[in-house]
Amino acid sequence: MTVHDTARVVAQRIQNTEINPYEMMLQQLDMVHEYTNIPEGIWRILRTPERALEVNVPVVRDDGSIDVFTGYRVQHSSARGPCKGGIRFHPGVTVDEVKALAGWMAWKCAVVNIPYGGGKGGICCDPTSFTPGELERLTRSYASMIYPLIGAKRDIPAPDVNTNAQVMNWIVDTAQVLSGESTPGIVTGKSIEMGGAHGRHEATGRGVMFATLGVLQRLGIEIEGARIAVQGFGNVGSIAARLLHEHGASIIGISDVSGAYHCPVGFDLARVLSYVETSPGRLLAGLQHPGVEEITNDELLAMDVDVLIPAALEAQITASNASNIRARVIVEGANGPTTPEADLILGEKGSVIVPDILANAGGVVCSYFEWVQNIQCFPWEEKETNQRLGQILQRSLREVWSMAEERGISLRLAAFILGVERVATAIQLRGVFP
Amino acid sequence: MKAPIEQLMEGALDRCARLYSLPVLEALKRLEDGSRDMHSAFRYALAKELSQYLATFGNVFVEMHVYGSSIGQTANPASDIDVLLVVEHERDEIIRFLKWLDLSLTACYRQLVGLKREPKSLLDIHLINRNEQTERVGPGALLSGLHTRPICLMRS
Repeated sequence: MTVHDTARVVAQRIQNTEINPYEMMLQQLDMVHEYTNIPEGIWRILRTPERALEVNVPVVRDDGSIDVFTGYRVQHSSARGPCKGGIRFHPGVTVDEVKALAGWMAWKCAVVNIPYGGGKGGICCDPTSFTPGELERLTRSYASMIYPLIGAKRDIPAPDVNTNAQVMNWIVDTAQVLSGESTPGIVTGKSIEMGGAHGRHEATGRGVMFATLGVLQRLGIEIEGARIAVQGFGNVGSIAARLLHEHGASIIGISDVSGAYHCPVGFDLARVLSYVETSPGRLLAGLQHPGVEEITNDELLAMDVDVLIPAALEAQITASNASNIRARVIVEGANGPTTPEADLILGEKGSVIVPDILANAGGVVCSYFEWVQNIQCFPWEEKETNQRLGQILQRSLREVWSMAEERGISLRLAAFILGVERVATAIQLRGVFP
Repeated sequence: MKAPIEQLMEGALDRCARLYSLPVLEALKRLEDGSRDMHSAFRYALAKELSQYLATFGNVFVEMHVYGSSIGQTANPASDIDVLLVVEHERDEIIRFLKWLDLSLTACYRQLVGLKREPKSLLDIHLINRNEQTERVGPGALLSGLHTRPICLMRS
């Protein structure tokens, strides 16, 4: 065996080692413990989910054969209200991933102070292998099996990876068939015609816009003429870019999976959005725009801008590119776009990072509005949704910012502490039954 | 899992194989068999790799010391690596980074040696600020320990 072969054997053994997401969630929680005075007993409650249900979902395929898929619904905490969290269909779904995400939802809802606990669900499956009919049967079967746990006053699912409004519509209908009652508040993210909220589509991007405006104001940077680069031009990035442009910001860098573009005088966002509306795959590829030059993704991240909005995938800002980043402010539109190594480097440089748990919370806040409207049987105009979203996110940023300043800590840690402490306080006030 | 973690693990295995003039796979087999000598050597080698990695973060980490079973012959498969890290400022980003580093390395080590749940944590890191280092107070007192005097692996 050559040295080269040996290296390959060792590399194969350790490649793709995954950190257990639940262990990661617990370790982040333990870090918060060091900064708080939460009693040990309460801490033990915080570290463990209230319930974790495993279901094995049979699905009759179109050819008559039967497959069985394992799914989960985890409720981390209901101390602050009904559990809230999406349902994902993905081959990588595991019980530990769902448990971790349920915990993160509990802290996220608490940071923005909406009356929810945290939950999450998922089915380990490849949704691309299903016909529409099979997907509907999978969804309905799963919904019926987690039905004892969910409900408008118990646990409210929402769309997540590979699930959408149609999947939510099927869950509502299944619940109605099982209960004999109309229960639109059992899930959020439904179609408008089924009780979905006006403004839901734009809510996460709008939340990123509010977070950006708030942090710029605190740093004394005028939004008028502020230079902004947006990585990811999907639902979150494109809407945040458009709204910030409407406030006077100059969007000088945009990108998606097909490429990155730089326009020193600022993009005409209406023109870009109109192009994407009809382009193949709704991608930026082939964009024709006066004064635009094509750049690399790394060049986009390193642009000399006031604000960088990573709104694409996770782990985009890493140790290898963090030292090149010149943006004073980073607003995390995506989930986990900054690795801990990059966080360390950026913190040393004095960059201000608005963490994902706060910056992209617009979606769950709007879900809360949808639920409120369903319970009251009183739909709002979109204007009211947008206005209330702004109030909640501005207040949340103010609270996180104050804590970070008072304690001399990062916004990321402050947001996490605020969320965890709120859940802990609710648990303490309730007491332990019996 | 990021490539640096795999590089640290491969580098450490290579170092301790060279120390014992063994092929890498033989060194790995001894780790799997639970050889205390090899586990101590591996931990010391990993600490050395780690010190070089931390030195790439500019002035964030001022000094790194290793002590305990990694510098004796007493480590077992579940032992951790005792580290003292002197930092200029104790920022929360540093703590978050070190916790991530520990989780990543622990997962990678378990995979390498074929362990399911142990060790719970591969790195036991104590952060020391300049004052604690100078005054030898708090974890800084360990720097003067008579029985387990730490070895300095990195000084920026």
